[in-house]
Amino acid sequence: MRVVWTLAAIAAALSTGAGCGDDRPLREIDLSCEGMPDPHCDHPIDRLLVPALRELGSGPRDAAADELCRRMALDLAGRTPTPEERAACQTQTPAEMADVYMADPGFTRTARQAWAELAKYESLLVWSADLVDLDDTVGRLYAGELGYADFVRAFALHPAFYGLHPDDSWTANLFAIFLGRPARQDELDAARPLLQLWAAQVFAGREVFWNYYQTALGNSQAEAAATTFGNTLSYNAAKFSWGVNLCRCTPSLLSAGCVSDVFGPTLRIAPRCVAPDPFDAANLARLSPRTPSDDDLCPDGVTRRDECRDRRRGLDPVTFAPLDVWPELDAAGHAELAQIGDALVARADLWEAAVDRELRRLLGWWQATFKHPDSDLPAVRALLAERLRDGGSIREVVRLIVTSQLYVQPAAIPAGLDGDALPPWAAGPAKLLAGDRWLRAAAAAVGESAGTCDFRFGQASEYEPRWADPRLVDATVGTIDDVLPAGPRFPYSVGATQRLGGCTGDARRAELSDVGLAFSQAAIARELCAIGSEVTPPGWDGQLASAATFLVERVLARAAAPTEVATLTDEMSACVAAGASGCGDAEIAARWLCVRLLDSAQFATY
Amino acid sequence: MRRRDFLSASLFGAGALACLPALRRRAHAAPGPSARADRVLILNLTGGIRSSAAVHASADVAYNPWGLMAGVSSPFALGAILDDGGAPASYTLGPAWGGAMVPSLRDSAGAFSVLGTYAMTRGDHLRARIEEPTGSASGGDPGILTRIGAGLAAAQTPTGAPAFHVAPAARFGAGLGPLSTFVPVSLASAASVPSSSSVLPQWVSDTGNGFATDDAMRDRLDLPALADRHAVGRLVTETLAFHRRAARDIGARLAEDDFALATAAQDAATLGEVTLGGVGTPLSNGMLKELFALGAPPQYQGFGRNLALAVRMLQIGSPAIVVETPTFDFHSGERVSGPPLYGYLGRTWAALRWLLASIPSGGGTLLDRTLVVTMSDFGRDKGGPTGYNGGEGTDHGADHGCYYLAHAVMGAGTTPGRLVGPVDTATYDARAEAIRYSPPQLLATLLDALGLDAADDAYGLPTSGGPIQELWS
Repeated sequence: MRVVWTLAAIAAALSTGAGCGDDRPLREIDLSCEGMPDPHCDHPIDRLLVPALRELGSGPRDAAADELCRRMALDLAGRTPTPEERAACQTQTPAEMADVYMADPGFTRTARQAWAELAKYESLLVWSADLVDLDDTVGRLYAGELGYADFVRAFALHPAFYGLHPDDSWTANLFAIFLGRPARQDELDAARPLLQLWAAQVFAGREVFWNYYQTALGNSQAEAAATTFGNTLSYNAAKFSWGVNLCRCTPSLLSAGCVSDVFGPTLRIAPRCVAPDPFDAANLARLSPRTPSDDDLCPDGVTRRDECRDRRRGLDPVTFAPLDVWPELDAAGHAELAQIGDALVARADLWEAAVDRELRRLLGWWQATFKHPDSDLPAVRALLAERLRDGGSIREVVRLIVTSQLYVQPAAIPAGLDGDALPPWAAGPAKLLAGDRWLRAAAAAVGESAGTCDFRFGQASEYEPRWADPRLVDATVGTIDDVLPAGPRFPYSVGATQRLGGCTGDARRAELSDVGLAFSQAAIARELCAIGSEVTPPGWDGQLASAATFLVERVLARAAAPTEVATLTDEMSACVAAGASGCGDAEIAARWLCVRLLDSAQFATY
Repeated sequence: MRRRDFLSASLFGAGALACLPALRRRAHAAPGPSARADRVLILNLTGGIRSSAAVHASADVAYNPWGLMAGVSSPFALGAILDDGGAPASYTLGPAWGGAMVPSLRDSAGAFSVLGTYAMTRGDHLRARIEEPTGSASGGDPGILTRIGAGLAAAQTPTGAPAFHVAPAARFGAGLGPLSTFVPVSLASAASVPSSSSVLPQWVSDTGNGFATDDAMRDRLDLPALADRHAVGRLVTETLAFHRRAARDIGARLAEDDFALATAAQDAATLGEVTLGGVGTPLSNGMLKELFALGAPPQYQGFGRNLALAVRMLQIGSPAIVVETPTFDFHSGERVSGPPLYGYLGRTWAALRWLLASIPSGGGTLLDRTLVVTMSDFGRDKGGPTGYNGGEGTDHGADHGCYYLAHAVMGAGTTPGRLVGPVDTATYDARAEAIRYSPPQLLATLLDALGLDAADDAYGLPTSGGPIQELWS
């Protein structure tokens, strides 16, 4: 029978359980926070969890400062702690650590990247300025500047979101992202009257042509071929500006409007015609406050920049649709459409799904039921969902999670207990580092820096990141790019991140390793350790033990145990003793250990 | 015993079992000589091919504006777009091949079969991929390669290499799921194998030449630190450790010169033989690359190299390989850009059949024990009166031509020259057909051909309707 460690189940266990170091039967001991006060009980989640942990025989536990410091830095700021931050962590409480890393610019950036993957951003499909606006909206949510209800209202009707997922995909993605489950067929069907509202206007992505053209020439394709395929591609990639036409549900539904109860209450979007003919273009209105201009088609102006004049490239150029400027939707129209967002935020499952999403991201095991049946704590979800609904922010939810026992416990199981029998919340999370986080952590560990690989809005695998708007890509180079070879299209950092599972907005990244990823980690570890400038301590005395101590601290971001140093030193000595077939000298032995540490499961998990 | 032989005998079979105890008891499948195949090769026609213009083509312009390939006698009509119109010289190989001539698709029409499947639900690209090679992003829906890996582990069948997914359109199936351990090796391209690594010899010597006191040394570093992890954390780290061990072993094999297909330096490296005019000739990297480069438009030469890599993977005993093609998702520009891709596909299919039938393997040929199929996201809707939509392309999701998908099938003893799962090519509405096969049944067929239990509830597709035996009748 499936055992669910809800508080009710724990209460039942309490009635029959055995004592925990107390001679009295467990049922006679009050394990609650009231019965056994503890500083952890001040935390609303821990107030629920502490009695349960006591019942398991472990009680509340806090991970060592190093372990928690690395976990928080990676989850919240998307990077490993600097040596200075690590030193500061030694005296910080979990709440103080959380405040440090949530104040880091990486915090909102990490959240934006997560949403880019969640909503599958793609600037080839929608107007890039709309995507930037959507991304800014996510940033404001995690900066605490926007409430979740307003965020949902804006997101659901955002032209970028609809443009990425038109028609049934809009419904499917709303359910998947905001309600935490797939839409059923009857729900897809029920949403269709709302889909009739949307209208698309095509405009051309000439920068796409130019990016492709350069890439094609870089790959030694003839200019004629590059031009032909560049034109075709840019035609394929012509961008859509999305608007609404509150009369599109006419004429058959002219009197009734667009009626749908897919989100619960009956929504009725009434026809509202500016022009008498319901299909007149004058009835179209923009949802976005912006409208594409010639500068959007080619940032420096079509007439001022040769490469933007695609017609000069000859060979059957594509004629792009002219831009007609739509008026912005007026307040009455927005109020009409706001019914959709209002219906969503009125649902209890919207708030629960928001909480589940953050719990999954930060804990890894949340609702991964195949791993352990006890991967869901309804009381915790209800608590956080209620706070969020009652005016709390997503930022507050994140802070509550990362300062709770769900997050701050050590990943190790409590001494003397059977880890296979314990529920997952009896230990801290263990997740996999992949993609750009692995690379940036590895580069930092050897005293270098890696470029970020954040193609939130583009396809790094197909095009050069020469997007018109600098906000569209953040692919800076690091010091490793000065030494390690660039690929045919990208600096080393970008190529390496792709080998490690892809950049944000590129292919969807693997959540777990596969063998191909392991190939890459092994090769990249070797490359970084070969060129790293800080693989040995400053002023190194040549002693293997001091190198081992230094490397464990730098790579694994924790203090090395004396026995561990002794073992590693023995192995380094064996490598040196192997001579030319192993490590020729002590420095090579240090670099050899560096590879082993970077290519370890300890490094790749956190 | 050579290292690679040892690997063939031990890797990825019983070794994998240690990581998933739940599968250890499920050994009721019987891969081996009694199975019809010991390898499957899937060409995944990314993005949704216009099936109605390909291997079960329509004479209706709306479905197929390019018409039918004339002079071909087979139960299925081939679309003219599959013929790139190359002159005989463009089918002639160079001196390394002894000037051999590669058959065209027209010449090969009787040497393969066509299977039609009909999906009852409207899919999108993502959902179609879940059904076919890759699996879902969460890992909750494993792809066929993952299922095959798990099935072979359950049957304790040693294989020479893991499953490979070459040029995945998206990296699915590697997520959190009960079969995560068996996800295939994802390689972006032929350039992703370790033989193409940028690690310089100097860096190798500067980092200790890969010294190890024994094979288990790297694991010993992790074991003390990870032993006290919670079961959930251990699953993550043990899966990672398993993949690291596998990567070390298969990575060493893929680092050898005969896998260095992305560079010219090792073109002379050989693996196995090809029979030319009754005489065995060592099969070099350069020959493989030449074969698939023959008649290839410049933009598809990378795909050709990936096919060459797939052949090498078959040669070392990988049980399942998916090679994704460049995209067929021509919502626009299909009129101009479609023919080069379709023409190369037709050429490639014929060349692949010719090559696999020429490589000796186990007393027969590689084709005898390899089931080769094409898959795609779905078919495409019919166009307007000209055969296209307003952008000179086609869409998907609103017509039976999208729901019906014709797969080319060859090898593993399948009966050639058959049309299995036919449909009226005036409508492609298979709902009225007496016998109708579904995409999951094709997946079940792949498992069954390998001797795996397609109804197994751990790795199989028990609700698929069962394998399609008609392919062998």
